[in-house]
Parts: sequence; C-alpha cells; structure tokens
Amino acid sequence: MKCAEIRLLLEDYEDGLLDERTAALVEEHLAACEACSAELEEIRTYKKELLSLERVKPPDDFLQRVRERIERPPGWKRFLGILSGAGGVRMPLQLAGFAVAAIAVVFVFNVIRPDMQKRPGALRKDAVTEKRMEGPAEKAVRPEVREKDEAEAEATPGADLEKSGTGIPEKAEAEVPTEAHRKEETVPAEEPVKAEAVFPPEETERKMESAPVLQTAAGSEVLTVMLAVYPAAREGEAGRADFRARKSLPVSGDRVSDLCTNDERDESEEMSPAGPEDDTLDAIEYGVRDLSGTVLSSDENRMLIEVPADRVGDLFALLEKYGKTSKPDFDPMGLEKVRISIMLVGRE
Amino acid sequence: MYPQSGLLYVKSIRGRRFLLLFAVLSCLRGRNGGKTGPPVSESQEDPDLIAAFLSGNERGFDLLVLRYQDRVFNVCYRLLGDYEESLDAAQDTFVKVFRGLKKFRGDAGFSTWLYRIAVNTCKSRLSSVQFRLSKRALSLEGGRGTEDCGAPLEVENGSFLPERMLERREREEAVQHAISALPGDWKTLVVLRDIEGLSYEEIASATGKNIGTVKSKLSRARRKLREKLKDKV
Repeated sequence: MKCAEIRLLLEDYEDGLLDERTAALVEEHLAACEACSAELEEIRTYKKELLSLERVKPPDDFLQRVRERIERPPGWKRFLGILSGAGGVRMPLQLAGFAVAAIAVVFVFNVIRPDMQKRPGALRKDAVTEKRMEGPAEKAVRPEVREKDEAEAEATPGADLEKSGTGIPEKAEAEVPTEAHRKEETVPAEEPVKAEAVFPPEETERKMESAPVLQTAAGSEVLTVMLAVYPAAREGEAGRADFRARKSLPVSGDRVSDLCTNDERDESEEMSPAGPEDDTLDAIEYGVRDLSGTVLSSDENRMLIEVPADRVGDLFALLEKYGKTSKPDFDPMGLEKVRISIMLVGRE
Repeated sequence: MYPQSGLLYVKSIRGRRFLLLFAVLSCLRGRNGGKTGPPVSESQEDPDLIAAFLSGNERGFDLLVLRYQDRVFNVCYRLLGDYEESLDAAQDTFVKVFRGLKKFRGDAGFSTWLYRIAVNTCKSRLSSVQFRLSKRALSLEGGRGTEDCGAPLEVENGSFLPERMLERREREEAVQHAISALPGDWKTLVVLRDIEGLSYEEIASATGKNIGTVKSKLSRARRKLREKLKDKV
C-alpha cells in the first residue's frame, strides 16, 4: 500500500479497529516509512492531548437545580402569569389571551415583512440598504442563492442589481452597476476570476479548488485512474484550461505514484483546504452508498471507498454529475470489488 | 386539588355520579402523585431506574441524574465552551429527559439517548442569537469548577498559581479554543469520540448519522484539529 492509503488507515490502526491482516500491512509499512510513522506519532499526541483535558465538575447542588427547574411551570405558563399579573393588577385570562394574540400578530408582521422585502421588486427598490443589512452570516447560510444568482449574472449581464440585493458580497457594494462592471461580466472566458469577484476571498478560493483525483486499486491488481472532477456550477473555461494543464490522462495499469511525485502530492494537499462547507466529498459519499459501496476512510481532502466491480460504471456516472471526468479504459471483469481513493487537489 | 374539582362537579350535577368520579380521581392520584413504585438503589442498572421512575418513584430519576451529570455537563462544556451556559444546557437536558422519559422506547441505550438530547440542546443554543451575543463578552472564568482549582482564573492573579498549573491551564484553553472553532458537526464528533470515548455506533445513534458518515467526518475533524493544535499547543 502507498503512503496515501496508509495514512487514511492510521487513525483506525491507533484505535485498534483494523482487522489483523490490514493492521499487519500498516505495521509493515510503518517500519519502513518515516513520514507515516511521524504522522502516527502526531495522531498519538493529539489523542493524548484530548484525553488529558481536565474533567469539568458540575456544582454540588446540580440535582437540586434540575429539580427546581422541573417544578417551575413551563415558559408559556409563566408568560401568561406575567401577563395576567402585570403591574400587580390581575387581568382576566381572556384579556391575557387577547394580549398574547396581539403580540403574536406583531411578531408575525415583523417576521413576514423582511421576507416580503426580499422579493425581486422590493430588492430593486432597496438594493443597497438590504445589502448593507445582510452580512457574511447571510452568505454562509444561503450558498444556493449565491450560486443561482451567479448563474443568472453570467446569463444576464444586467442582473447584477438583483444579485447585489440578496446581500451577496462585501465587494458588491462597490459594484453597483456601472457600464465598466457590466463589460467585465460579459467576458467570462477571458476574465473568469472577475466573474467570481462577488464571493468573499476564501469562498472564491475554495470554489476554485475542487478537482478530485481518483486512483483505483483492486485487490493485488492495481489499476489507477486519474479523474479531474469540476464542480458543476463552476464548469467553465477556467476549469477546462486548468484540466488541460494537468498531467495527461493515464492509461490503465499506471500507479498514481508514477504519475504524481510525492512533492506534487504534498503541494496539492497544502493547496486544497477543503473546508467543512466543501461538500463535494460528502455528496460523493452519499452517492457511493447508493451504489452499495462503502467508505472505508476519509479525511479532509481524501476518501478511500470500495464499490462492487459491476458498479464502477455507475460510479463514473455519479462523478460526472459533479463535473467532467475522463472515463478510464478499465475492465472490472473477474473482480469482486474495486478500491478507489479520491483526492481533492488545488487547481491553481 | 382533585377532591375540590370533584366537589365542584358534584354541585353542578347535584350529586349524581360523585362516587364514580371520586374513585377515578383517586386512582389517578395513586398512579402519578407521591413517591410510590419499587425502591431503587445506586447499584441498579439504567433500565431498572427508568422503570422505577415510570412507575412513580422519582428517586429513580434522581439517581440517573447523579450517574450522568458529569458526562452530560462535560459534553455541554466542550461544545459550548462556557461554564454557565453549559450548566444551563445540562440542566435543560435533564428537564427534557424528565418530561420525555415516558417516550423513551429503549431502542438505543439510555446514555445514547441522553447524549442525543444534550447535543441537540447545545446545538440550538449555539445557533441562538442570545448565545452569539453573549460570546462577544470575554469571559475570564475559564477554569471555574475544575477539580483542582475552585476559584475562577483571573489574569491579574495568575502569579498565585504554580507555574506548571498555569501552563497546563493555558494549554487546555488553547485546546478548548481549537475545539470551539470547529464547525458544529465536527465539534460534536470530536467531543463524543475523543473526549467522551463513545464508540462509533453510539455516536451514530446519538447524532442520527450513519457510521460511515461519522467516521469520515470525524477523520476530517481530527485532521483539522491536529493542524490547529500544532500551531497553538
């Protein structure tokens, strides 16, 4: 097994979750590989650090506090009590109910109104104001809106006003439509990065760094395939150019290590901080399960999976959903299962 | 309360069916009120304590609280990173358990169910506006309530602590800070697995995810945390 595969197994090895045969393979590799041994040591230090965290002690009267809270009437009853006894003047329950209804009406209006403002008409009216009110938090919870808006912006050069109204970017404030700005957006092929200027910097960087490389191994026969998968939403000239710039596609029988040196692998790993929001691996993972496959292990930017050999074709079809893939010259005949390692690498 | 209700009822219907109503109410009182049910002791297993509680002996619940308060409180503390918030969340968890124990079907172990409630309680707190606002204020009470140091840690008085203890405290704070900086799901998995020592099956059950997802997300979370710790610790 290669270093990349071994490293995916190290945590399970340390937890004692590997079967004997795999554990022996890991040990054999560790004896000969300093880098992997160092990684194992790092894992051990990490575990020790977390296990040595001091236990925080609850107060001695914890149970009593829980008891008091249980005996306290529920929040809505207390609320009614406050209403009916407000200012020392007791109200009849009906009046309290009426007050609650009135508060509910006010609440509903306050909740509904902002939604109404988000409709396209309202957006045009208050584009700049809305944009200032909604900050990065709004962006973080509504990625699908961003992508949709971005697609619209690419299709319709004049759509940037609506886009800015959904509170997308910090930069958008400076991008209230001008002729110059529109010109920039109409030439995505030559200026692909400018079209992405609406993303916050990390977001843009992350979006640009989602090209997984796939290597396939089956039993003792190692069949290697490299696949560049582009995020579907970003499939454009920039992505294709980058794909072409990669190494030429391999033929079956090659090993990843033959095609990609250690230095390149390390560099690519550093360049792809596939964060928690990057759900390419998650999406592939769910798809793999649908194909009766198993995710053996995975980390931040790599995933080791095993799929039945007769589902390999379906797997490539699945990957194609997430971008462009090169179909390998691969015949799974005679094999029961195929082991595949997917790696996210940087694209710049 | 019940006899009074019975009397009102008798007045309104002029004594008819009084005896029957009184008998029904008495039965209800016998079932829910007072501390009846089988006796319990600390050595009993969770299902026995639950059964005792459900049959009316609230001491069963008290023993469950005493048994799990440390674990629940620590999970809350590691997820929320704030002593008072954790205390509140842990109490909330047990109140929910008290009210929901009747619905507990026992498919998973009680502890798993309990962890699930604790995690969900913390999650909703983490996403609440109130919590986010309160986190803006810098708390200096990081070490409060820990076993070897009951007093809150104060920066000005740091010199009173032995140097080693202070170093350890700083390191722990760095680790806690790194854990707190992880995104919600990752944080939960790290806390349940690497601090609380739950098995993958238990974590899957407590978080409602399948084991494969737990393993892969945990692996990514650990890698991220290791990177953070390398810089900080």
